[in-house]
Amino acid sequence: MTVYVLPQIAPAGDQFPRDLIRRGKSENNMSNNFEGMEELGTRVADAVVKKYESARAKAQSDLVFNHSVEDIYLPIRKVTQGEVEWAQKNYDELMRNYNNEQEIRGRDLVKLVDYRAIFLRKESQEKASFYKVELHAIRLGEAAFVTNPFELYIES
Amino acid sequence: MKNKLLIGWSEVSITPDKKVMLAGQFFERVSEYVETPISVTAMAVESGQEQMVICSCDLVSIGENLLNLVRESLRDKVTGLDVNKIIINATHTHTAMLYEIAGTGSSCSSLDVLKRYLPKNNVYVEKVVSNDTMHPHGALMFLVEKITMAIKNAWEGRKKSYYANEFGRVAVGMCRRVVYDDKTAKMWGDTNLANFDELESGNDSGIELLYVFDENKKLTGVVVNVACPSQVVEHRSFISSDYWGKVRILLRKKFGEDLFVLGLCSAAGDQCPRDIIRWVRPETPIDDPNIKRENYIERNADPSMFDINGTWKVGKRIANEIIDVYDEAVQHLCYESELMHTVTTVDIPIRRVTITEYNAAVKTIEDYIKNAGKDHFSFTDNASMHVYAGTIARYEYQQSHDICPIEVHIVRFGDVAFATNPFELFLNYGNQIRARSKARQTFIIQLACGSHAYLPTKKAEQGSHYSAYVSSGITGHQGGEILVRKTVEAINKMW
Repeated sequence: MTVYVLPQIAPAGDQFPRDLIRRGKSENNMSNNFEGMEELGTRVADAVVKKYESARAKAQSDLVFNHSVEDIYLPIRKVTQGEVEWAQKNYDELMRNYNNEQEIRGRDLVKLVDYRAIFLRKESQEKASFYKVELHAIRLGEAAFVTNPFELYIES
Repeated sequence: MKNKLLIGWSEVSITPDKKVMLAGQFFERVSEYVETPISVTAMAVESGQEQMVICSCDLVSIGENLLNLVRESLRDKVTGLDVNKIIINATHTHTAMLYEIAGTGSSCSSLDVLKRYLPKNNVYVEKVVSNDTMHPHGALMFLVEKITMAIKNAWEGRKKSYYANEFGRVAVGMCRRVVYDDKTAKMWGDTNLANFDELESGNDSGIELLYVFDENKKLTGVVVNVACPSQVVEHRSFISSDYWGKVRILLRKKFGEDLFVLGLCSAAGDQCPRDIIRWVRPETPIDDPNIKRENYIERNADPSMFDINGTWKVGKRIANEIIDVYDEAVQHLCYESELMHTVTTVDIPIRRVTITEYNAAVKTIEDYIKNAGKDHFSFTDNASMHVYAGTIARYEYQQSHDICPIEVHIVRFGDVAFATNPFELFLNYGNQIRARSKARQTFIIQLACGSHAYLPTKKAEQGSHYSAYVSSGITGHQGGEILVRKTVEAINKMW
């Protein structure tokens, strides 16, 4: 029988799987290698297996189920004219080293993305002050599911 | 220089055979029964000319008087042991005996201050005064005898040993200080409020482990460093070793009854075993306004972390991880180790009270007594006025003192560092020490060799509330910065 796994990420925009305090001193297997993925996969799988019997004992099919979908409008974070000028100046300096944007790689590419994002935000904020976000809220018995389209910080 | 390693272990029960007043909390408790025995566990280490003894106690804190009496008592009882190399620390269980405690850092207790403000015809009534209850002085002498015995036995039982240091990860401690949108903070604050902003700090799920084996490579003991005080059942009126007792029971089922467990609390002044976000209320009511919830919602989360079930849950989590990591430990045993141990006195600036704060505290106490409408005062009144009486005590102390000397031990044990402090040290200081330490693993032992209460961060001082008040600890963030710097310097000199 196939068992399906439906992974979901809770608010974790500022989270990741590495220990910044003990970096390289204890748990040094979380840097893009198989060992780290296996370690984390094992922890998650162990937790699921551990709760399986308890879950099976209270499994139910007759429960409250509600699902609402709503569009909400959030204010766009605006860039200032100063930020636009700062981005333009740095963009011009960067492009002195390249013939076109397609050539750019590495750290300079990160800078380019940042400058471009500021230009794009300037354009979009001139057209609208808010933007639409789809939000789902689901009640499944005693549990709630809520969605968001962000890399939401954990405190939210 | 590496030398062969000699390690000895001992555990001695400190379970009282009569009722005791229980230490911790702001209400009077007397033990009604023994839920789990309480004990002290000592590990003595010798390598070459160097030595170290760590004695972990199921107590709320270690007074300087207790430390000094134990050292004095051991001087003529053991040979070859430098009593200054003894570290005694508390697991911070709140279900062990209150004992007579004294040390530097305060001219008098908050109760002494309160009594001074009572008019002559008013009296302070001790609730617990019966012949079948152990007196705090008797409890002190009882503990001196038992801790002395544990250390003596461990020292005299030193044998050739192997060890392996390992790392585990278990969710135990969580931040207990809640910050609201006006940046004020509250210990045990309600998070189910629209003005809840964040938890003041993170938590540390990492646990530092050191397994010790005998000559036949049989496990004799394990040192476990967890960033969470042992205070699940802190409000209850029984004797209990809290979650450490359960760790011992569970590990002995696996490794044998003669296994020793040295539980050490890492920097965790702002940590607790409860999930403040997924709040689960006590199984039976607790008369503490700080843990009442107006709009309580049943959560599918941990069991109540106010009750015995919670101690088993935490105990299982820690024990399971120790068992799981054991298989890795046995693969790289060391039988010789570099051992270096320095004991230093660090001068910490005391956190000062302003004249305005002092005057406000005096007025608050005077008004409280005037408006109380009674002439008998009790522990409850002392609890209500504790913060203000502590403020007055500090103001008086600072007239003649600028600094408080604290004892700090730094040990290099192979790849591992041990660093002690006498505080309920906020987590971020522990993070700073651990991150900047050159040691592969850094065991931080709080509430060791003295009892100077909380050491909050600057952010906590700004947010205020219990654990970050001036009266909550002898020093503040300036002292914290000095402690971190001196500790890191001392560790890194050894590498």
